[in-house]
Amino acid sequence: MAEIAGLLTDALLQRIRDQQALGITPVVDNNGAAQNPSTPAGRAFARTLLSHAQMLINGAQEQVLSTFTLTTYPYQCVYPISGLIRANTNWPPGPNPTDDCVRIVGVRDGQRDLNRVMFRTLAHIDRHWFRRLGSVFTTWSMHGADSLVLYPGCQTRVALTVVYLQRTPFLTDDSVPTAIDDDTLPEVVDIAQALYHLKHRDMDLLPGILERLGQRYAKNLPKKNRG
Amino acid sequence: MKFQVLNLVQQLSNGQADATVSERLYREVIFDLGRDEWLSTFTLVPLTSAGSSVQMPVQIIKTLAMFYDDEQLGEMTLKQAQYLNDNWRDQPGVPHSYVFDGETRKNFRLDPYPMVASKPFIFIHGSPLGQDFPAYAVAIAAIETRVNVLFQMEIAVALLVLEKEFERESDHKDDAFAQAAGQMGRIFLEMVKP
Repeated sequence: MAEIAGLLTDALLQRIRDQQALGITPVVDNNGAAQNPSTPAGRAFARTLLSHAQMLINGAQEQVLSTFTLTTYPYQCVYPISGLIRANTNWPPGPNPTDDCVRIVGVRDGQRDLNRVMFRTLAHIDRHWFRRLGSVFTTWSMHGADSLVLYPGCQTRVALTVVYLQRTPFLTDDSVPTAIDDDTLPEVVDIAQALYHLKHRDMDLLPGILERLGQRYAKNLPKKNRG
Repeated sequence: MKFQVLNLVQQLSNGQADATVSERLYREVIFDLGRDEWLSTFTLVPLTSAGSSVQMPVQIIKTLAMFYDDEQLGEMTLKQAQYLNDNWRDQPGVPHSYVFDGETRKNFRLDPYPMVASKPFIFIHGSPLGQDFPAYAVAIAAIETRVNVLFQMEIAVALLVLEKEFERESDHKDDAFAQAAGQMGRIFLEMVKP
């Protein structure tokens, strides 16, 4: 069951011992104008931190998945996904309301799953992959974070199902529900708390949280960057 | 979006970060992220005159693959091209490789160079990489620099900007803060990696 943003914000503010949210009042609002310390602005900034934290946890744990029907173009193997996969209109708009996809996790043609390969592998499969035509799509790949490659191209339009990791809702209000599992919400608060400590230069409190996050989510990084 | 990243930079630094410098550092961070292959693009480049060197579009910071017509070309260094043929610049034929000119990484030549110019870039079906792909053109799969980053990168990029901002010589230099911000930024990027 989803928790509402207000309760999560309270949990964060209790942890940082600033229940009035005066200490995390932003210095500028979203338009860059200077702000005076106040509770509503402080809570709004706490929710901003929690929104980013929720999205990061979802990115690492792949919890909120959605599907999108991609109708391919004849002869085309490459599809930019920025702006292609639109935001879920039922959720409050985030800062970039048009983008909804954090990461593509699978592509299906009907009930058949396409195989994923690394982008550089495509050249080993076929040096002419960029314009190769076939009867059905067999393989997909990602070029960078926002270009989807389908191989081989088809002469006709085909409707494929793209399974993707969805942007979690921006917690614009205390009543907005969270989207990820309740079990992982403490980690969301952990990240927001780490950002708070950074903002307030509480460096003594940071290494523990950073080490925990680094060991869990950044195993590929060199140890010195893991905290 | 850029302004949201810069807002986060101001908010997380309690207004200490220099706004003008932060904007420059933001561009530096995007350029650095080219190594990790985040912001990708496919670009078409026309070949106008045979044999001449071709200029890479300015926004490209790293080339991952290049195609002539429908074939993926291999990358050769200048030395490799010279080793195979001293007169490689005057060798006509069907290209199999591309070579970045010694003078600048922004110019490249095809080896051997094609005798025909690419067909006009007219995209009747609105599908330049599909049905409308112009014959004998060059397509480049690359990492580019952009004004706006992807939404999932915003908080991480803000932290990497803070790292640069607080490790440079200034009246607010703070090594511990910079190091912590950098560590967090890299962990967060790893969490949303494609």
